[in-house]
Amino acid sequence: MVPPLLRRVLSYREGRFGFALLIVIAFIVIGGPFIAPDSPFATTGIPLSGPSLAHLLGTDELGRDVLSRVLAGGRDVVLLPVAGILGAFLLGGVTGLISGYGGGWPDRVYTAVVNVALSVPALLVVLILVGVGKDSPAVIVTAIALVYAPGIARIVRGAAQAAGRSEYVDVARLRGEGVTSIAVREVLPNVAGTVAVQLALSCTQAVLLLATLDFLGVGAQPPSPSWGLMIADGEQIVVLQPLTLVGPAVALMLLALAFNLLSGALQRAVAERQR
Amino acid sequence: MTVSSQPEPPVFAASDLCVSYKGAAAERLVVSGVTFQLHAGRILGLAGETGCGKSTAALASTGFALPGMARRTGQALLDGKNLLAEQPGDLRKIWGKDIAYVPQQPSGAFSPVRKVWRQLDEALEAHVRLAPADRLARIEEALASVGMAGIDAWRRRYPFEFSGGQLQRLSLAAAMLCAPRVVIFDEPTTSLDPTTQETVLAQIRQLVARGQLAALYISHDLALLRALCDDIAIMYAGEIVEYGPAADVTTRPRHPYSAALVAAVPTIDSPSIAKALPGEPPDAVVAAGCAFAARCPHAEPRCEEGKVWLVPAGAVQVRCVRAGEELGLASPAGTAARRADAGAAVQRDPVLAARDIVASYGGQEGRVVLNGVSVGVAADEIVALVGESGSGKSTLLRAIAGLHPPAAGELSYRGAALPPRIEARTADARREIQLVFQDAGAALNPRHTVGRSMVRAITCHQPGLTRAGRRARARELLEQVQLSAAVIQAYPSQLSGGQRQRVNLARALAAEPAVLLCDEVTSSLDVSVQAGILSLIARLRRERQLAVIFVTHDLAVVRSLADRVIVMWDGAIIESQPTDALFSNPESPQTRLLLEAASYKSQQAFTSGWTALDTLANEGLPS
Repeated sequence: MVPPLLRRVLSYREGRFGFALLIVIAFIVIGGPFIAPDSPFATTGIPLSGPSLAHLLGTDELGRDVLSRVLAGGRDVVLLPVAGILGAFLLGGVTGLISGYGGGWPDRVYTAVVNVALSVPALLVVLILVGVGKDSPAVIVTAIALVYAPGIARIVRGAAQAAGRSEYVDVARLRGEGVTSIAVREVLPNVAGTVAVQLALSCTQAVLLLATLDFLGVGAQPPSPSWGLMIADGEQIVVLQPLTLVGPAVALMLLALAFNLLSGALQRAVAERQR
Repeated sequence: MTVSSQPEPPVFAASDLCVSYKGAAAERLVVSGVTFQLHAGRILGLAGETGCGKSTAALASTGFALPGMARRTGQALLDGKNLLAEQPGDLRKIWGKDIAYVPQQPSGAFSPVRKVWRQLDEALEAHVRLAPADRLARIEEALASVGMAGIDAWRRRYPFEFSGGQLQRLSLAAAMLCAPRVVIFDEPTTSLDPTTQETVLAQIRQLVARGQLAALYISHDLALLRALCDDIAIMYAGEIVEYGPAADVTTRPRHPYSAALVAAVPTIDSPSIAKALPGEPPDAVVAAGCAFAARCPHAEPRCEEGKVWLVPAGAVQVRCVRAGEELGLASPAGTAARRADAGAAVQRDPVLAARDIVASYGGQEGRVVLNGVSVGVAADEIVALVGESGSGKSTLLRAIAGLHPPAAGELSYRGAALPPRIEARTADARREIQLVFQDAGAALNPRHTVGRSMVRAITCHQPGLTRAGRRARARELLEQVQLSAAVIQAYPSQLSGGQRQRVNLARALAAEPAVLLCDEVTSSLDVSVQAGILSLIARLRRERQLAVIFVTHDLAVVRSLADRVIVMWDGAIIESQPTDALFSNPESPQTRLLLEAASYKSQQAFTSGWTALDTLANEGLPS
């Protein structure tokens, strides 16, 4: 049984395209290292050679196969941001849901904390955390979770507050349901659409943030085939072998596009459902 | 009242109007063959249940292209010009000037971010060449004509700084600005409270007479149309089924549908429950046979054969194959709802009582809405709570239900104290006292199917049942409120207003309550649906000795349902009497005012024409 929201998303062209793209990307993330013709770290050809049958995207300055590196690098580029965003939802979404429905002074304190957290520049926090903790995946995931949690918290809290004041919540109180039961059964289904839109949007942002970190040299370190790092390296030899830059850049763009298309379709689906 | 058998030529004439919407597979015909004439100084009422195509027909006749419309044919003549063949640019010159439209929601007629007078001025500027000072004078004149002269600082105010009644009068004034000749009123008073409603109606009536306007008034309230209109057209499934003088249509209906609508209207003259019209109207024009046959008590096999045409019958035109026969439609027989001994004012021990309730909004220094109110209701008793909007009726119900803990006062149930907060009450008390909300849509979770909502309530109140048992119980309860098991899979947005309110009632009944608190449960519903819900409540009370507190602003509903009436005014109770005593001998001036305001809709008022409304327009309601 397909959930109604997903069915609606798939009825739009952008939803179908985004979903298909995401499945292709997921396939690359899982299977990429196995279908890659060569090892991402091994020198297998003449450095800086153009595309050929042996190397479809050519080779980089060390003679490594660009296609193999793009396929192998996808895993971290996709999984780390998505894991980080899921963490942010667990942190910001759950607290926002409870605070928004519960209301009262705890909610006011919570909102104040969230507002302060929102005013801290995201890139700065990540730079510091990653700088201190080096480029371990756990640190990167934690950093992304911490940076995105306040924004998600604010959106979920607002939606939960609106849903929490409705009469169907009164009806639930009248039949004796507790706070958790009401938050989960009555309020959550009504904020799920908003949450889904935000989830897809945050994923795009987190993917690009991570790529930015790699590009700046504070994230993944050589010889990692991370896309952001490849773009940084490719930039210096773009005149000699443009595909070293274009390959990972196109991959990154397609990933962001998939999330963006999905969030657009989700937004439309939620708006139409509410009519 | 102009009584003329040979009226002058019409100002506006629509003929053979057909409208279809784009559908999933094919076009859906929603209005078919609608023909009507509007005469100067006269009002034509357009009646029918929700979804019968009233507004669609009226708007389409002005040349307005409705969103989603696929095709529109027919003619609509104003000054010999067919509006349906005009270019959009030419139509814009006619709309707002020659043809004015007054919408149902006045709040939707004004942009919320701009001052009202700027918007009025803009409308005038678009159609009439006048100096700014003259425009202002014209606007003030229009405001005076709807009784809005001398409102304090009105030029500085935004739409939200006016009350609902004031806004509706402003939107009337906006319609009158360019001295139109045709005005379409689309249920402009449905969202207003009754006393305001009456004053606005009186104003409409004066405007039409004074300006010799040709008016079309859309409403599902036949009692209102009977009092207001000269002629009435009844629509069903996109077609006019009866059309004629208001008196004939409402007192001697020829079409079984008109008769059923008339019978469903409660009246303050009669202490019986109006007759319900079960079923739902079809959502498109029925091509072959009579569209109403499926719900008609007089249907015969030949009703289903071939197209039924509108034919003259006496003073009216009727679309019925049995138009010539005597069907005995004119005598609406209702059922008595009240206890036999209700008039005897038997004082019995209340099962639920509230004493000296004080409640306010906004904490300690907030606005006090209840100021020492005491009510009680006994088993097998229906108590009506009436009063203007803002008098504290709904707050009192919420306080009793435990949703709005009062600042002072005490509640008792079956002789024991009842905690003010719902969370502090025992499971039994929670189960036995049930509240049904006014807005049926808001009280159902939009993301839950009807089945899920029902099963959840059953799980909470009858924890012992198995999964299958809960489902069976849900079906049984829905059946009790005359809903088919098909609605179990539906989301609230897929149901009609009447169906949603019946789901709410069924859910309240899942608790097997002893006390039912009803907050204006029928005020947003068609009369045909309202009658069904009222008789259901009356039946439940008979069968289960239910104690009911019923909040309403409709005195006709009170008369047909309640044993005792409590009148609230400004957060306090000013009168409490058995129903008949209250209607025959109101003690307080405020009650007399409420009764007077409601009387324009009564049968007696109608026989004397427009007198009730005219008196109102001339003297106004003291506030």
